[in-house]
Amino acid sequence: MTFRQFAFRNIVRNKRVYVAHFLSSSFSVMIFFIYALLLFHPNLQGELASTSITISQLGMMAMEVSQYIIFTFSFFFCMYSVSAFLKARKREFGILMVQGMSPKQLHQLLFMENMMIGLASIIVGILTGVVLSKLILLVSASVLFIRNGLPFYIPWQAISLTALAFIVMFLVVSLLTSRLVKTNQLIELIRSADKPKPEPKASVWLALLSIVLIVAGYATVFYFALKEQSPYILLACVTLTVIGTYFLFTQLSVYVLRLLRARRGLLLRKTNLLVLSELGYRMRDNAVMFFMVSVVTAVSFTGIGTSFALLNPGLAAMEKPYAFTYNSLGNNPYEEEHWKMIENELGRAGFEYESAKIEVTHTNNGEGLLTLSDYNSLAGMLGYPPETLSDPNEVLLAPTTVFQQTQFNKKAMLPETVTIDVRDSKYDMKVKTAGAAIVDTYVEKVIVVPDELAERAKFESTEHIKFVVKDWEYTQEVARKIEANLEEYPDAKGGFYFESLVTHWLTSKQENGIILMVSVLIGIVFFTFAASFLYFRLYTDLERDRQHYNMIAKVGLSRKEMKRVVTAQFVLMFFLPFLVAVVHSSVAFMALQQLVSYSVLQASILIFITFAVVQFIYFIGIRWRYLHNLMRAM
Amino acid sequence: MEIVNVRDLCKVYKEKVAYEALTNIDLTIAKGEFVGIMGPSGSGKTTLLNIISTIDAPTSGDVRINGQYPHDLFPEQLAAFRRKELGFVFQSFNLLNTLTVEENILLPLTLEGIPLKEMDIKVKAIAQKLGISDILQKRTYEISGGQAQRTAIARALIHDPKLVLADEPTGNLDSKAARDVMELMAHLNRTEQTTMMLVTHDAMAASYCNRVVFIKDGKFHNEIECGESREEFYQKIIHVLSLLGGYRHDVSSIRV
Repeated sequence: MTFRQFAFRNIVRNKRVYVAHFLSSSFSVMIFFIYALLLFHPNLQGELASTSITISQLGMMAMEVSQYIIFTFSFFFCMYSVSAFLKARKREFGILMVQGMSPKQLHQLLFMENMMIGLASIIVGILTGVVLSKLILLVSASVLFIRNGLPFYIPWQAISLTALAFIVMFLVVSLLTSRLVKTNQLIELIRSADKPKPEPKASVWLALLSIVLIVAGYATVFYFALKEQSPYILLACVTLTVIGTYFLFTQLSVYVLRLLRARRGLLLRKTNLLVLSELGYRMRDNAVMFFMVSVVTAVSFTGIGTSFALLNPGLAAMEKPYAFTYNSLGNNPYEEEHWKMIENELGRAGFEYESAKIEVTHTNNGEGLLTLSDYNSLAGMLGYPPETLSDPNEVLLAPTTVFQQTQFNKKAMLPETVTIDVRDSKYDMKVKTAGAAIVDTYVEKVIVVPDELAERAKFESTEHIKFVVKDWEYTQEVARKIEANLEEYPDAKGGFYFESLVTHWLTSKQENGIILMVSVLIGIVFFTFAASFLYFRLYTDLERDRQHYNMIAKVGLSRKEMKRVVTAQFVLMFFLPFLVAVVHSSVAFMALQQLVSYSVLQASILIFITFAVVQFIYFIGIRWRYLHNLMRAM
Repeated sequence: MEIVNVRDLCKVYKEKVAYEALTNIDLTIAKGEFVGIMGPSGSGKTTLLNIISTIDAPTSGDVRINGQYPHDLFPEQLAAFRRKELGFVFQSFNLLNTLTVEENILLPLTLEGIPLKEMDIKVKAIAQKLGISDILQKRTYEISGGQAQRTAIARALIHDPKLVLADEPTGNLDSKAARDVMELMAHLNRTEQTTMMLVTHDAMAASYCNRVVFIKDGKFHNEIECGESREEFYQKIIHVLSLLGGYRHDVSSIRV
């Protein structure tokens, strides 16, 4: 038996111990790989297309942030798995060192073991990732009715990135884990098996700090939503909340349990003694895991929620409230004729509609001027009250996009005065307020001016006929007919251009579908990630728990009582991180609500309920398996 | 020639309350000697063994083994020292259950990097001597306690160590297996001239030694030597133990 043979046999014959570690490593490789697969997907290169610029930018930011998060978490996951694994083997290392294994040889052994497991899990992880991603791509494309879904491709880039990243990671982990075993204190290693565990301790100050950090994180996300959308602030908010959550589990939870234990009336009632004292240890032992689970879950909730809200059909209408727009540039001889034609087509198809013509005058600075009466006709069609301008020097600002609308609603974004520079004259005007109706034309800024001023300033202008149609979602056929009719006209000197909301909506739905699919995928992957953390942890502890309950059963704990003790602990283990994640992502949704004008409430509640149900099924399943295993020994 | 030379050894555990486990211990073991260490629970006998076996470090005093001071060695040298000069037998056997009996015995040679041929010769020879040739290919959970302890002894002896240290080797065995193991150790001590040090609280086991050293409260109490008859030696040991106190109940059921 050579040294290498020894290292190899040690793993192969000790499958049961290594299998949890191996599976968790393969799992993180697989997740990272699936992510890399999406990241390098040829259809997802460049800016993500979507209906809304805001959402596109958020989507890109989210993809970027979650890329870092997933790698960091894979790393921690592996470190955590390795260190839990090493702790369980302290005694074995003690025996080896007593037999004369040198520290160098021990490090060599650990390194060889880690690399063997690491390489095996890289291969297994990538292979399962390839198989699974094909499946996921197929299923999700058909479920979401995405015509141009994500085709499967041989992801050489993703494979090499994953392999490289994880080889480096396992190297680092292997080197770090050698440090974890204190080779100079042999007596500690040998005794570790039967040494009783010290009582879990927590610091009051760190417990308080956790609350402070989380509150600060929440405040930052609102600052991000209300004041300044910069990725750095978003990163700061994530960092604060993550650190706060860490202390919440490692310090605050242990501290609260200690306070509960101090109340003898509560502690010494029935099985409370067992539940509370075991929870103290379980909390401390698993704090890091709980922390990871809640952060990962919160990330997936927020990700899925954001993209679910994206698919809301109202969103397209919000960006562009007009079902059809007919734009005339210059002298367009067909304008009146076309207007009639579109109205006829709508009438023949039986739609209720309203239409109005507006004229936008262009200033020297590229702003658009709109008469108050034109504006009021648009506002009337959209169901907003008409505006008035009492002073001839007063103007309104009309938003051109939803984004501007939300900005105007925060009064701070509204300037007090504007200077209109048109033709040869300049007019200093006072801004009365912002209009409610969106006026989308070719210009980015629309100023609503008194009719007389518009008359005086008339210079270069474009005309737009706006249609508001009830049930615009079903106007696809009409739009196609109108487009076909318009094609028959030869190009006029000025030209015209027809836009329909329904076409816009349908194409964007395809594009948004891709974002949705990506984020649902990432969300599911994260959630499974979190759930497996719990499973692997329980798997590692099972043997110890079996002995533990076996012993208590001899003292006289009934099966029913044992079930109760286990259930109480499981409820906390499964739903405390879940609850924290729900709170975190609710805050994120509330902040998101400030950014967009449609409601994200429905989407977020739907997600929470779905995942709560999944988590509950998971809880029932694991509890059943675990109790089954415990009972077998009793 | 002296194999073990302990001088003025002290061990203080610095926990919340400093606690002196060993005080001014002197001990010399000559080559080929079989020395037993006895004492009540908490007397410091296992601490003494752990320090001599380099598992634990002394607070003050010298430990010299075969002319070397192992506690002054660097970790790498210390590991080499352990696998060349020392052999260990534990109460709980401490076999690796991932390995077969044969592989467990070969472990010290594997760590040393001995050629495979030499390993084969050595393992055959020692298995024959200890009567475990039949079980070499078995895994550790398939063999009995007595066989496991024989395997551990084979592992402790395969590299011809200068000193074999045994910590309650009979503690987990029934009386028949315990006697077999002790007879085997005494036999190996006589025929191979292996120096052995045994920590035990079992008078029967201790009676196989040439000499028994008693410690109490971390201090040397007295020592007695085996004369002509082992029975007589056993009675003497029982007598000292009863003077030390706390042993009556332990030994009353043991018959030799």
